[in-house]
Amino acid sequence: MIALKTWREVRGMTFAYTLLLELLLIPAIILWPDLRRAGAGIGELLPAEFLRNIFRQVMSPDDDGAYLAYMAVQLFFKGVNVVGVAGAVLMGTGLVARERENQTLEFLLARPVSRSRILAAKFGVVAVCLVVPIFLTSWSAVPLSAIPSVDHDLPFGRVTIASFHNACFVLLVLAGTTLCSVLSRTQVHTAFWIGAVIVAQVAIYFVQEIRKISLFRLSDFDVYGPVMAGNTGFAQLFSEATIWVLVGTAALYFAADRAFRRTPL
Amino acid sequence: MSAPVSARGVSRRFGERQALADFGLEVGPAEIVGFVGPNGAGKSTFLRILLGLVARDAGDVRVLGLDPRRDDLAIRRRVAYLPGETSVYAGMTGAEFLQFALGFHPRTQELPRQATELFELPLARRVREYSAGMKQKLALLATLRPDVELYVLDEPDRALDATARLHLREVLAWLRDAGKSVLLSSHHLAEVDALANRCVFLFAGRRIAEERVAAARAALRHEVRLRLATEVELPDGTELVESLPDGTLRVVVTGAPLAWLARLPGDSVLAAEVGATRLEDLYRALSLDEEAPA
Repeated sequence: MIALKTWREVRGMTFAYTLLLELLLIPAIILWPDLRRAGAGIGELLPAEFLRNIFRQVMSPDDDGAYLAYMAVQLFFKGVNVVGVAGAVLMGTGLVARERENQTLEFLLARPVSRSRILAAKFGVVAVCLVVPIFLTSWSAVPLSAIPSVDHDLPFGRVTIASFHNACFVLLVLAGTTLCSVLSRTQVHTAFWIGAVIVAQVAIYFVQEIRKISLFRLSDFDVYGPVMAGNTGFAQLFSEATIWVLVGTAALYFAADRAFRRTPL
Repeated sequence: MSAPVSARGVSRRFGERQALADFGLEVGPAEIVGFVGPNGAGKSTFLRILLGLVARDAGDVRVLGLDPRRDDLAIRRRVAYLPGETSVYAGMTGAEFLQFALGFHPRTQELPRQATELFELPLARRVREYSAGMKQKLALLATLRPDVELYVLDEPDRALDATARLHLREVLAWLRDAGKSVLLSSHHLAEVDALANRCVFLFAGRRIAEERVAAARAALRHEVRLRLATEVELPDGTELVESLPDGTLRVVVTGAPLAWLARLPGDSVLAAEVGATRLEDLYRALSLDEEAPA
């Protein structure tokens, strides 16, 4: 019942989020030949050295390698990291805080269901709503890349591995948002705090000297580039990066669950 | 069979505020117990403790023989609870909300005829289009439809008009007659007075002693309108307010008005009408002299 209710609440956002991911992807793929022709000159306009490095890989003489690097940027570094994180924040802020704000929390808690199950049902539905579009839109890039004007082979396996890691990263953001939602009295407070954390993390990411401590280092080109190039397999990615994302997600979720079990009405 | 509700010595503190102090209450089978007190007296806190939504600091509580600390889920399966400060999901239609709320209970019941009028709602419309009274009716319907042993209702008559309150009164009486128990908190004291088998008064987290309530009740002044067949001498302590042209007397009496009427010669009273605000007056009297509740 709670899962169904949560689905009703987030289904509109889920469709919009899926559509947005796809709309960012399709022109990016179609415009690839033009971008390739435009040459490396554009890259020199980029403000940070690490961005220029990424662009140099995208403009490498190896056309296939360049396309894989480009997709790593478009699909994951740009697409899901921005839209996915925004989706996690938008859908996650209301999980508990909206119930409290709308004075429906007591009604919900008075049902014969434990608080842990309530949170799990809500979190589970939103997690599925966030993760499934990541895989679907990523997989849709495979046939799109094969259209004659683009004509590139995008390996399904590598896309799936990168999508899995990216989905885990979005779940990390969702778990953090859920914790904020449990602790906040209103959705606006939740959005403010989680928004402040994310903006700070993005800001740190773009400062060369300190970017290594940014959360977004767990989900950037340095992670997805080698996966798409075929240099990092699932086992290596999982043991070096995904595991930490999952540990962080679990820790934040259990903190949220513990806080929710003790939360006042 | 254990009492539906049995609570003794219940205390709960929120920071500096003592919400409940050594409070106790019993609700028997097929009994409606009224729960009366001013805002902030601790009524909602106690009701939440019964459902396991708030933990007690001390005391012993049994709901249907179960301890809310350990068996809160089992209790919530067997108890229907209407929170006092709750809202319903505005994005759902009335029918969706009912489906959601009733889906948690294995058994539902058909309510009596009076409920049809009370709960006449446009269920196909979104709840956000409902008035406050309609939302309250929807929440009530979702609470009263489950077939459970105990109904805990925190201000069920909130936002209801006079007709709806009358229907609600009949539905609650039907529940009692069907063997269900009801713990009813309300600010509409006349409703509680009309329905409840017993009334429990709560003030600043403490139960007001029965003797004190009885003393306050005995000291209450009531207006009585009566028509007499013959001229009689009114008992001592009766204050004659006015004598109307049709022969009706308006008097104010102290203590129980029915006992006062019984002191008049048996065949002298043609008609008598006692003011219906007994409990409100009693509540006022208790509140005024309850600086430090006994």
